[in-house]
Amino acid sequence: MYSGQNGLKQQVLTWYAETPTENFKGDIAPLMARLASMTGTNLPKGSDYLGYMSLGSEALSADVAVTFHVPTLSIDVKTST
Amino acid sequence: MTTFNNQTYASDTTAPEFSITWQYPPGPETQPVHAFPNVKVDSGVFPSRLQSIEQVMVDLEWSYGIGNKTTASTSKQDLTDNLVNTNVAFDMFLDSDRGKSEDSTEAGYEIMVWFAAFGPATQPIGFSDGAIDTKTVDGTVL
Repeated sequence: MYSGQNGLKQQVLTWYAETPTENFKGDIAPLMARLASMTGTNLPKGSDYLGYMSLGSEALSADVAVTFHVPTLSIDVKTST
Repeated sequence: MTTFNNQTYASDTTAPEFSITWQYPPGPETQPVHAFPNVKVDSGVFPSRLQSIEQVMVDLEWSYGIGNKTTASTSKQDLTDNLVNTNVAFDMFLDSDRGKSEDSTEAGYEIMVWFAAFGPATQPIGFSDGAIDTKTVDGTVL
């Protein structure tokens, strides 16, 4: 996981898979909870609101046309309230 | 962008299959990302306090290919040979203020989960400072 500030002065925390993972089936809530339980500055707190979630691909550059295909995407969020 | 919008959603947590074709030259180092084609969760569950989120079950399959047709599996070599710089990521925004947490430019925190990164230009912010933590989910080391 890497941390740093972007051009909009937002603190960006990135969980980073070393190996490309084309098939993923699992619960990512522990990744978010881990950030809230870590000690340190510039980390979100458990009381903070998660208001936006999306899945996509950042298009930086390519010498030729490339195609990003997502045949399966399911996101099931369970909350305690 | 191609979407299969035939209303055959398996459930309200499932997105339709989609694909997108793009090509961009390298941008400036301060602003390397040209676009973020993405699917946003719009089910009404957000905003939600982080501590109240018990589970975010994800079922994801994706591929990246050369050309404008979809490919069955991703060849990292093909992407390297064609100087492709891109990633596949979950993008989330948080803030202590409920309203700001919904705005991707106003929110104070951004949490990303990168399932893949291709190309030397594609680095998470803070990469040069080294990794702060690591965790494994579904056999994927992050």
